[in-house]
Amino acid sequence: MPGIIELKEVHKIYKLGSVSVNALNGINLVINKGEFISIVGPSGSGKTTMLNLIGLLDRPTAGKVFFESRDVSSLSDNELSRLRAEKIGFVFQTFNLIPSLTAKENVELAAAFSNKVKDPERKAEELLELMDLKSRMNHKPNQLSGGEQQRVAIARALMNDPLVLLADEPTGNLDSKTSMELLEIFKKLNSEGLTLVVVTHNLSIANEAGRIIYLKDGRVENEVKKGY
Amino acid sequence: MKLRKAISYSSRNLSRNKLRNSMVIMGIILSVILGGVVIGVVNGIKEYYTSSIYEAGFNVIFVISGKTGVGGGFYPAAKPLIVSDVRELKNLPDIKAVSPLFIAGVFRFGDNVTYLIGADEDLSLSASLTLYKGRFVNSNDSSSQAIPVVLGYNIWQYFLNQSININSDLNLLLEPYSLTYGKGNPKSVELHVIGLLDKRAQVPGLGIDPNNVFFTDLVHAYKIFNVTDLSKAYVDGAVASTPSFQDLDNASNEIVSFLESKGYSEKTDFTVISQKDALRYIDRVFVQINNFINVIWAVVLTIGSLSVLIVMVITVRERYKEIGTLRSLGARRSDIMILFLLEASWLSILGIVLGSVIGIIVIEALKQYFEFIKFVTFPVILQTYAIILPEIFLFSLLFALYPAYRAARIDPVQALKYE
Repeated sequence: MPGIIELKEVHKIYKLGSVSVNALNGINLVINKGEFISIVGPSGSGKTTMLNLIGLLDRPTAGKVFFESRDVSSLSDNELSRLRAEKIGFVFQTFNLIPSLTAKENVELAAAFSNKVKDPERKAEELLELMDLKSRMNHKPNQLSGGEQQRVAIARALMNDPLVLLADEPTGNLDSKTSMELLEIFKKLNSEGLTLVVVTHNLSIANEAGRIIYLKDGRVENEVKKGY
Repeated sequence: MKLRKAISYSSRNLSRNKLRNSMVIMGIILSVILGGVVIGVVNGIKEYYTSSIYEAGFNVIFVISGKTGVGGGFYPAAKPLIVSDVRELKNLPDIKAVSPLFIAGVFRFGDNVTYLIGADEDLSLSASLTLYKGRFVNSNDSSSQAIPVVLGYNIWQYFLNQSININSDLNLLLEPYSLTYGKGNPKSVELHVIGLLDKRAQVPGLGIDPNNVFFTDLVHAYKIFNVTDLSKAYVDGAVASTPSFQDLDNASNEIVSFLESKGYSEKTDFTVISQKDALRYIDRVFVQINNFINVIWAVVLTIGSLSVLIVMVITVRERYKEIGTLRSLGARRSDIMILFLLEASWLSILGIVLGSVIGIIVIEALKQYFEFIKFVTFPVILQTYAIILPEIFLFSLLFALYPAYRAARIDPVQALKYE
């Protein structure tokens, strides 16, 4: 059975002025439904680039990316946007909440780009309740702690019932206690069947994943499966 | 993205950078006020002049002894027109009524100057003078001892006691003054009021306000200068009317031909101005003024719209990361473009709404200080806003297109990296 996302001989080259940077060098990866994968590696190893390709935010310079067995290189920008809206959830290191909107409105916003959710307001409330933020749903991001903001961001990522949740250094701006709370949320979501791909420097998080992919210089240096 | 959601989302962003957004809104408010005041005043004055000409009589031709233009300037006639020649104009095919006019002197009421003007009965018909009360002068009045007068509206309403009525007798100090017969010593004259005129519009460019006139018959007017042979008496002009507006040009030509056949020269002795000429003159003048105003308006519009452009460019630059986030959530390029255009629209709409209200208040306030702004009536303001407000909105959107397009083209990966 094919994975929900496949990377085949993927290369990504960035042009920085006259210099070409090989961010990814022939990556092969299959992400199966329900997996919890962590991607680790030193800075500049290509972790975020890989996550962006998995999340259909970027296109490879060479190689193929398949999403649910579809070669995404032939898809238009609008088709990629639709896939992102309906099937992928993103969580970022800096939370990336919209400062003018309340927590609930931030979560609701994700539903604006897809037609999957019938009652976005109610669903946003449910998700925030699930994230233990019921009393904070009408607060704006600047009135929330880092941990609370990241939980709002996770609720937003879950709004359209994505197939896969991608997190880029989700604990990078959080203290260790909050990081552990977040890890528990990820584990719970994964146990409910959500596919998770987390880019992290945090070994506590990485070690909880079922599969750890070690990247170095744009290549998969090592891959550890824990039989999760 | 659904439009309702996009409108709501873009409106929420107005609360960010309140100071900067306020400055843009202020720019648009100033554009609306400037547009309202400048264009409104020009439209108002034009409206006033045009309606005044229509009110001056339906199909009127002014014949002036001497050379003048609608816009002003006067050169006395080398050979002044005489009463008998003017009265003969009535026999021309396209003339319905005609009356000579002779200015016999001046009455002063404080700073207000009023005129004693001699005319025939036909004047009420040719100049569309309507009576509030009483009757107009006629040939039967010539034998009376006191000077029979029909009072212009301002005279009986403001300058004299308002209780004045027909058959009232007045004793006023007249300063005899005629362009052709010269100036006489001030003298007390007996006046007998036979009619009161309704208020009517002044004819632009023709100097005398009919509301400030004592009309009398020609016999009494000339008697002030001891002129008894009316057939040879010099007139200051005449008012003729035609059966229809279409006849004005023909009638003007007939008047010119007739007077030239009597030995007058159009180059030096008389001027014929029809209602059509006056309207044409006003159109000519206002085309030039409008062109000038349009240039100023284009500059104002550009400055207002540039403020939107500059702020939207800064906003897009500041919100790179947000654009990346929205793209990661599934926003299409067109969604991003619409969001930024809606934000520009909000700024523009707020500026337009506030500017319109403040503009009306400013115009009303200015009316107390500047006489000419009184022409900017509410309908004129609405008429002006109907033109300038859509222009401001469209220009703002046009200038916001570039930053909105730039925002839509931003690479989401680069946008998410942006700090």
